[in-house]
Amino acid sequence: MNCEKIQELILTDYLDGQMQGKQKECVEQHLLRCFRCREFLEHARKTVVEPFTRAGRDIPPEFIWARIRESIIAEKERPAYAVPGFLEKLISRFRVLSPYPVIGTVIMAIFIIGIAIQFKTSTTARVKSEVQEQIEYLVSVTEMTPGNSMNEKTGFGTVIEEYFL
Amino acid sequence: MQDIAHDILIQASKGDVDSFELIYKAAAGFVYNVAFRVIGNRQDAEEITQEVFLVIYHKLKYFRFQASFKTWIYRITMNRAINRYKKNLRERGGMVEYDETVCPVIVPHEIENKINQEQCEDTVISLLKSLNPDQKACIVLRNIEGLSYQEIAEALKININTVRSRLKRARESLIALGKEVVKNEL
Repeated sequence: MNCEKIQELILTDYLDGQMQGKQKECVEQHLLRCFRCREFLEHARKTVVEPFTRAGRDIPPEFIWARIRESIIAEKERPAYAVPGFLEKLISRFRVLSPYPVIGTVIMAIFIIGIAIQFKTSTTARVKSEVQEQIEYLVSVTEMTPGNSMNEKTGFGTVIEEYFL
Repeated sequence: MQDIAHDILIQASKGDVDSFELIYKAAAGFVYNVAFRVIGNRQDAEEITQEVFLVIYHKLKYFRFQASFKTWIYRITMNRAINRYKKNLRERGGMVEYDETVCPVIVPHEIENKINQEQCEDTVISLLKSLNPDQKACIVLRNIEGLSYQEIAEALKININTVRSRLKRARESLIALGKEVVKNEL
């Protein structure tokens, strides 16, 4: 293995102690005879491993658990009719509304829809009868018109008319 | 992260809050510190910790123990932390604010040690700042949390060789950054 390959292994498995067996032996033998790679290993240890091993660890603030617990308990205390899953989310959006205005709105909506349906039915019947009436009128007018027949002689009997025709 | 007994997990999955508190105590340190290191901000780390544990509480009843519980926590935490980091990056036009003040648990009594600790924290923050989120995740899980390559691969749902290549690239850029800093100091 050349130095480039050795340094690649140093940056990963060797530095992290994930290397075993023959490969590890091979890298260590190379390190024994190559000063440049030994120097690279030392530099890598100091730059990319040591700063992190000395990094401090925080304890999570206590209020985090208090909030989690509060949230879980609040959920448990929800009424039994609550439906799990996406329906629960949907219901929770409406939960902020008090029931009386909601019931009022629903009754109002049903009333408006009823009126709309009634209006639509009566309007359709009226339009139908009007159209029927108009058709009947047109038919009667056509029958009553004296010049309606195609066989009847047309014209005013003038000289010019006679000349051209 | 401390090991969590199987019966505690079973009790917690049935909704027992006291058992869930034991899980929290065993895993909260990991979740909070990883989130903080990846995002670089304490307030976000607190929110992510809360979110992660609420997700665990709700989904624990569906957890079938086919995967390791620890791996499951690692995965939820990393997903949430990386997503929050990317969201912050988008919202702040590519600039993420890092908490420079640190309050490590192991507070050395000697002033000299304290100064060293503070310097070390500054170094860690500036090193992590220079990495992209994927590289940062690998470095945090390996160098700070001490996970094996296999555990990192499972936590991030990536191939073990991808873990190797991300670590290699991250370390190459950290070495380059170190050289740059030395050059500037000279």
